[in-house]
Amino acid sequence: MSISWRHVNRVLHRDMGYLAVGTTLVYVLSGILLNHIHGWNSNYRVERAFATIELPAVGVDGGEEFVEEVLARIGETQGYRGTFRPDPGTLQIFLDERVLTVDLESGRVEGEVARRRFFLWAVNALHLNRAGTFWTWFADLYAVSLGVLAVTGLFMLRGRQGLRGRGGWLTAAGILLPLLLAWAFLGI
Amino acid sequence: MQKSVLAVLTLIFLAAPLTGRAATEYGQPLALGETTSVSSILDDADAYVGKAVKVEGMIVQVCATRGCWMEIASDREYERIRIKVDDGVMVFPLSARGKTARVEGKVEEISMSLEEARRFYAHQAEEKGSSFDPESITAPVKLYQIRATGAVIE
Repeated sequence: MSISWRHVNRVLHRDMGYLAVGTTLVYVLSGILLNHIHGWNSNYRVERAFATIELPAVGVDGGEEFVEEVLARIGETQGYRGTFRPDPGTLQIFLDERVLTVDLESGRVEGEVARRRFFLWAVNALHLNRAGTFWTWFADLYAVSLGVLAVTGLFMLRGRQGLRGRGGWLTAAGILLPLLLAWAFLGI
Repeated sequence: MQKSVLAVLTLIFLAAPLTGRAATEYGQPLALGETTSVSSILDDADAYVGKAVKVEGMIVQVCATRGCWMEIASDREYERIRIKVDDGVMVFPLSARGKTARVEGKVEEISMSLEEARRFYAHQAEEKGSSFDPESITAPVKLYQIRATGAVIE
């Protein structure tokens, strides 16, 4: 019994389609997020809070004593990793996941917490190929599967609905549009 | 559908090595024996441009969106230097702030016109969520940074 190439084409398209759904959704979500990352940070949720304290009398040159007193006055019990003076009027105190910025004149303290959005950070990292060699090979395979899906899709239908009719026009439009955009915006 | 969800979750767990751990290495292994102080570089930056250096210091700032740069404190007060990488080459986590980094790379000079400098600092302020007055930049700016090839964060 001979198997027609159209049957093979349909089976390939169907099964590759099922296999590709999960990874495609990862790329869809992360692609949109990364396109707009400067408008909305999908990797981290950054929150800020403010307080004003009376600065310790010992002064910033008091080093550790000054820092520990500042932390006590804002109710912070966690130890700190280190400090930095970006300018003479400012002190930054680094804690685990948090940064405090102290205005050494006014006593205003800004606390910044940056928390990773675990799921979104992970899909972005996968999209940007940051998951190691295994993922690189997997992503290459996935890219090939998309190519197979695209090509097998061309031959799913026959006649006026297929490449010789409506399908042909849509395929041509799908190729021309990116070329047009590249010519318009990249000068190619 | 259940299989797709399971596959996605499996792929996400494979990303676990990306999470921060003690003494995390980025990029190429460090090879230079000698560490150059950041103050030495900034004191005579033109002499260092194009040269490979190794620096060490506390991480005081990290790019909050793509982790494509970080700043490390100089050995001198009020001073820091930017460590820059191309997007995706290395990704520095925000959680690295306050930790110590050892970095190798080449010193680069960035010359900006007045308009470019204003745009640059405006973008920086936007990333930090702080305000910025463009009029505070009154002249073209020359900056120095290190284009990193490798880093270790502890």
